Amino acid sequence: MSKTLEELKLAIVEGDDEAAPEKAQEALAEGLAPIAVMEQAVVAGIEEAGRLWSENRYFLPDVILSAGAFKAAAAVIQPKLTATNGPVKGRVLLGVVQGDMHDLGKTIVIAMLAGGGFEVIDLGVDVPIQTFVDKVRELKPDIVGLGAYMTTTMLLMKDVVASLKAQGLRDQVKVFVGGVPTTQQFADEIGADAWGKDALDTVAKARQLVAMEVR
Amino acid sequence: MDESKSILGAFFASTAVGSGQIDPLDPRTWWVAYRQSQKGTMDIQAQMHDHTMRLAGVPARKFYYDPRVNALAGAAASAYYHFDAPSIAGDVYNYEAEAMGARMIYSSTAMPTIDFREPLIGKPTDLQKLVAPADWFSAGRVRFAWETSRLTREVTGGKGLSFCAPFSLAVGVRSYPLLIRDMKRNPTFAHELFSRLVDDVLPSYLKAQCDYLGGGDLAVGADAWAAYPNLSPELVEEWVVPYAGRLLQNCMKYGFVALPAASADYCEEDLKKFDKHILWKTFDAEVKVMMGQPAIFMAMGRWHEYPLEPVVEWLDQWKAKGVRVAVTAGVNARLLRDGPPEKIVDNIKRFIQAFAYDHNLTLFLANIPADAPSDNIHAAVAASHYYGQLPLAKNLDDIHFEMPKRETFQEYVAKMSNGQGLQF
Repeated sequence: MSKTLEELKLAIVEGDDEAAPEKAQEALAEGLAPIAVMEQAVVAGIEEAGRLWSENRYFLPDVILSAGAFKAAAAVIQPKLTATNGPVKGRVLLGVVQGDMHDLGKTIVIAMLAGGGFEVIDLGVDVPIQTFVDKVRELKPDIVGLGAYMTTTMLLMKDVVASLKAQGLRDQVKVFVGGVPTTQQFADEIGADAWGKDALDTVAKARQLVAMEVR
Repeated sequence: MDESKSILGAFFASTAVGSGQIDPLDPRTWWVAYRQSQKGTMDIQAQMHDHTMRLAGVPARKFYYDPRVNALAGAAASAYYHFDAPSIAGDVYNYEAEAMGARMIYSSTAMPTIDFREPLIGKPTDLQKLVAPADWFSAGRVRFAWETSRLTREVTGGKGLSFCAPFSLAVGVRSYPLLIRDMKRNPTFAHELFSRLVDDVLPSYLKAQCDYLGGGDLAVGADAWAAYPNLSPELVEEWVVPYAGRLLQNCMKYGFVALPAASADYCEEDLKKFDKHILWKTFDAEVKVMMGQPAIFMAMGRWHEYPLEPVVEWLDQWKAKGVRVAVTAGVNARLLRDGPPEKIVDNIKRFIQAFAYDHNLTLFLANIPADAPSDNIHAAVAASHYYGQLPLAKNLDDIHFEMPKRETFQEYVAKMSNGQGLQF
């Protein structure tokens, strides 16, 4: 691996959101293929941060900084990627339900899903039920992910699932839920397809959901 | 110190309940009457504002704005569940930030929450916005917060004050990602932000609150944003401990003690990552936040699944010195929602078995979810009363436990109000 790619990967791992886009620009200027820059440095960097997290060597501040650096570097590279760089694993629509502003988990999930090869569309926070439905209809994602931090707002997830069903879209999209107050039991109760315990688990579950869809 | 109370226990330790006369239309007196009848069991307390709102069927736009409604519904729910302290509260993380101008989201279904998309301190020059309002009472929903406390004090006594702890308030005004980035990349700015909070904003807020309520002894600052792994133990020592100490010093001149609660609370989500050495570091950090008092919070983590032996092992160092540590042990919110009641009872029994004989245990139901079944909460309280009967039984297994069969909240309210119900 070139020195620039090594430095780019290190910037992602260390959460340096100023060095990461600079190094990404440098790598492209050196003539390296965008897909190689993305996979060997940017994705490898966020995966390394995830590994350190899973080994208790990184804590949430480290991961949130890595996610920021990942986002900054990916923003430089993604416009250069072309369709010939291979199909994405799936399209994921993500949002935090209405009345809820807590998007820390979503930020990390987006980075990990993007690093895992998914196309991720971020609907943001405080997303009304009908917006989820409209965007599912319009963008036809493989998965719609719903996040909540409060036990009051998480109850709206049930309404999102019901609205998707009522408007004839439930069979066309997998639904996963996540966020501090949610559990597998809650996901089962509201008829979701999966519960993401954390960002790494969410990526694994997303892969399973897409694989199920393909079968 | 061999009689240290938990910070929550201490918060309510001065509670001087009123006459005990029941006014059928004032649920605050239901709680007082219950409390006077209940002797000799271990304290069990709860945080449950979202649950109370749903239980009482009060709209969010009323529950989080009208102090009378909040206080009465909270008292009614506390009396219904037989808690040892009235659980009357709102969105304690937001009041100061909102009063200084932080943008909020006001929802019809949930408590107000800070809009982190546009934080109050969006850029370093915004630091000038971190100033205490000339009139706290009229700013944001401070009137709601303080009036709710005043209404509660009217019948329960008590001298507690409340606030948002410095780290959590820093998150509230800056957002977590930006604050973390500041701490790493621009620590001078981050220190300036924290300094303004502990030297100006919070002492001013607490002094005004103390004056409004007619005195105060212990101010407890909610600090869940500083729980583990939101912050590592090392970051707690670097960013929470010094400012907790400085805030304490700044408030002592007003005659009350101000301390954060739940900083460094161990909340690892992945059981495979449970690490007793990290756990011990969080406990050490908690003691430092408490200015050396032997008190630990196990409030929000998955304690029904973590092993308790490493906690006992850490506590043994204090036991060897003859010190009873103040342990606040929390039943996890998701367990309270999902149940089953038998698992909740077992969790309470394990806590008492592990901690209550050698230390001072307060049981805590951590943020009861809005839709948690009441049977689960009754089970937790009953378990604390059966197994927490004082003096403690030599063998908890000898105690015959019966799962309580209780009326619904609506039936309880009708019974206590002579069938008149309560109009929220």
